[in-house]
Amino acid sequence: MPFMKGAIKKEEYYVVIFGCGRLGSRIANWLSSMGSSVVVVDRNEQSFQALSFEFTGFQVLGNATELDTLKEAKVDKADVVLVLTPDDNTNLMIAMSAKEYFSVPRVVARAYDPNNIEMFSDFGVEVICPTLLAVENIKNVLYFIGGDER
Amino acid sequence: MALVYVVDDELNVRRIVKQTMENEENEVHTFATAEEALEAIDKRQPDLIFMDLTLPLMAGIHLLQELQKKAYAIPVIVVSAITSPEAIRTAFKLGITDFLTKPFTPQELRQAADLALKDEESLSKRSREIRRLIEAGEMRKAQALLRDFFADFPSSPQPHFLYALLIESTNPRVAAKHLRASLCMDEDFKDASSLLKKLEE
Repeated sequence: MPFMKGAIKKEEYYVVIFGCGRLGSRIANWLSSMGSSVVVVDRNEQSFQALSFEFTGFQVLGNATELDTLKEAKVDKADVVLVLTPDDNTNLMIAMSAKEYFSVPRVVARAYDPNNIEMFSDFGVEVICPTLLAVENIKNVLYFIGGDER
Repeated sequence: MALVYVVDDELNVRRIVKQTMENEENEVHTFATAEEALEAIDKRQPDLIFMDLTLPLMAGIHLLQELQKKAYAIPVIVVSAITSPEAIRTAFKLGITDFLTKPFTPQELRQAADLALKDEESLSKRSREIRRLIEAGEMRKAQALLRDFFADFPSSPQPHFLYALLIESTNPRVAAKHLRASLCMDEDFKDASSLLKKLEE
């Protein structure tokens, strides 16, 4: 599903990102440069060092599986929540809370294991699966195998 | 277009408030310390101030006290990560208009700014209108408007002053009481002090 399909039309988005690793920090920097109001949540303070100098958002230090952390990040006010921690179970829990408890319009989560995609989808969470993306990319690179000539 | 000052030691907060307020076509100046901000306020008073409570050197509470001491009637919105009831209560006692906790959304920021600016505008506009009615001798109309004015701005010295103005000839003793109440809220309120002096004479 394309990320901003059926996008919420307004000037500025309030986006909460869980996980400030390589992916989370890059997305946070990009969204911030696009003029969105961004909050990054991570339980490791050092992770925030990956944010660029131009990053204009907020950092919330805390355990994202705790409801108080979600409240502190004002998830209830978010237009978009991105759940990008390295653990599928944690991601599922946060994504479910954002969708069910805080009624966030767009929740996008990363699922490493393709077998978990259905579970996320059942709750209306949009899923990015790095494994499937990599498979697709590798298939494209190996286009000459299987007679798929271009 | 309003002139907005932002006082926060965090660069990202200064940037985000500046960006949001500039999107609304306001003129925005940012300061990292209370001292810089005070200097700028003395030179040119803004229509609205956003400030943090935890600032280096002079703390936000001291900045609020300085603003109160200098009798600047500028609406102040505190933007802070501090959420203790004591800090919030102290800030409101020092006359702030609103308190936003970090992180905040652009919508929260805009709403708070709109309300603060509207309040300020409506306070002076309504004050002028009531004064005009009193001076024109339309006391009943003035009294009706004043009743709502008291309810909408209970912590402002203006309603007390205007009420004193309304009843100074019929009940100077009560008028003096209201003038004293007005001066308790703003001891540098010149109109109130001169009317009180006149009544006491």
